[in-house]
Amino acid sequence: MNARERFRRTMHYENPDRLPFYQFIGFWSETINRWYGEGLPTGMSVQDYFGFDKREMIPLDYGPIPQFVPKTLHEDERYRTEVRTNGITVKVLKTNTSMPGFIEFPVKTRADWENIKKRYDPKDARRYPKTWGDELIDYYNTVDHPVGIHLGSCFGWARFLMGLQKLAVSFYREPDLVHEIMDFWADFTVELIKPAVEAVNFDFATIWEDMAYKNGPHISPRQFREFMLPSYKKVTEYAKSNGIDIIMVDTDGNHEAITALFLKGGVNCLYPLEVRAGMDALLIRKKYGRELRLVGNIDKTALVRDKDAIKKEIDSKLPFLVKDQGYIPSVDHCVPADVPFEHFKYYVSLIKQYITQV
Amino acid sequence: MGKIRDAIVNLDIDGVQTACKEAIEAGIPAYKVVGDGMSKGMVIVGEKYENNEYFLAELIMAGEVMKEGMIVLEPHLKSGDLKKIGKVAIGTVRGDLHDIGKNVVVTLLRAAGFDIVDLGVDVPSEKWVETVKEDNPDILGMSALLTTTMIEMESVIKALKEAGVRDKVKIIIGGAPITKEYAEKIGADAAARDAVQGVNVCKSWVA
Repeated sequence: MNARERFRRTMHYENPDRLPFYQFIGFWSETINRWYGEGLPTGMSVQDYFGFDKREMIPLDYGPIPQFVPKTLHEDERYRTEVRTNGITVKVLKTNTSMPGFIEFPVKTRADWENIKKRYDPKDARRYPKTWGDELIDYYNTVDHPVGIHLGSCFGWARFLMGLQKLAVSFYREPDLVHEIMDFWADFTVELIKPAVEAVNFDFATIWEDMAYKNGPHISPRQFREFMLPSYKKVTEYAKSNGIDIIMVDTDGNHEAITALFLKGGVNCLYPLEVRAGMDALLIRKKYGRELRLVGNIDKTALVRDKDAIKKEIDSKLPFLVKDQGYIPSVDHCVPADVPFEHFKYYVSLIKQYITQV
Repeated sequence: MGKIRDAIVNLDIDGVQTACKEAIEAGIPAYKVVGDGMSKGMVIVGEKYENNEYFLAELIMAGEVMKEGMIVLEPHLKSGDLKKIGKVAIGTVRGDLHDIGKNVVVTLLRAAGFDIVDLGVDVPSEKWVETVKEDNPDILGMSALLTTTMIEMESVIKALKEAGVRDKVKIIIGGAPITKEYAEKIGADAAARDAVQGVNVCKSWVA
């Protein structure tokens, strides 16, 4: 069974030969750098070393065209303040690559929104790969690993345009503007993906949101229902009408308060189910049943601690989830830099044993 | 006063200034408007957050409504009018530039009547020590987003001990990876589950 068939069968509860083997969100670059000093052969990718299954996304450009000109505004020994191609000004530590500090966002006024909108023409040919055409379509339709399509981001995009602070206030002060941005995302996405979804048989679609933290979602269910749900329905219904029946959302944190709304919005897979935020794949499966597929939920902090903690974490979840299917094992976010290479190797050895026990 | 409290609770950013102006015109001292109106409103907002009626966006919005009201009240406040219930020095630890959570806590602490020394982000151990020596806070609040940065909290506590000032302050820590067990392990006095609970812990320490 190839990786594509395995993915499809897993997500449709159709008895694959084994579950897919992925580290779904990936690794922080500091982690890989650390591991090169702990036994990962220099220059070798973790994908090759551990033999993860392949998957692929069609590389559509969801960003502004033209991009904002990246520039450094200030730099000293410790920090660099820079404007990024998405128009956000960030302050970054030069010593690591994790979460930057956000200084300024491109949309401060309605006029800013009217201006930036001009950079989001869904029909701009530059949004598609230069190789787009019959040959690439044939490749995607026949390749032996799953192929997905990104559907952008509704809340996440609005937050990147305005910043969380302004967006939170705008739900009350400028609800029309928030509606307009979220409606725009839906129309833009449907138009952008049209040539791709009409030609390619995608195995899954992803939406990136990151709209929750350990104490719950950033916005209330009421706000989700009013502002996001119509746009979600529009995008997912269009994707489904073109044969994409697995629609995954990436949101960190505890999204329990809005999980049912994601389902209502046409989503049927959530990841990475962060354990420290209180997400429990077993409880989620019990509550929402097989309609909701799951990815992740292996506590990254167990991989930091020791081998006993790793085994306990995996033993507590995988026996049920592997048998029940509709689940892909993965660490519950990027693998952090405090995970020793030996611990990850041990984690992989256990996962490889479990995924065959379908 | 009920109108001002309700403006905060109902996140009525357009109505809060009118309510504050009416209170001032009615001869109510500005400090009473803050204490009996706005602060009480923020307490109710906190309760709603704890009960999952309000979420992060509402906490942020309530802070904005309060700021809007303070624009009207501040010219009427004399120095020393607002009695402070304690002083908190707060920041994110070295290596951590993510300050959304810290900023929400600052807003709620101010609303609760704390004097704030906001150290900002990426604060090194020596700065925390210096602050304890020079600003005499009652409480240190340290925030971290990642497991790789939270370990700095232990370094800060060690530095405070070495400088002989650990016992001058209570220490509360918060952020995505923080647990009660971690707080106990590194010798902090409390771990905040969320902003509202963190503020309640701080209030209990200065009561």
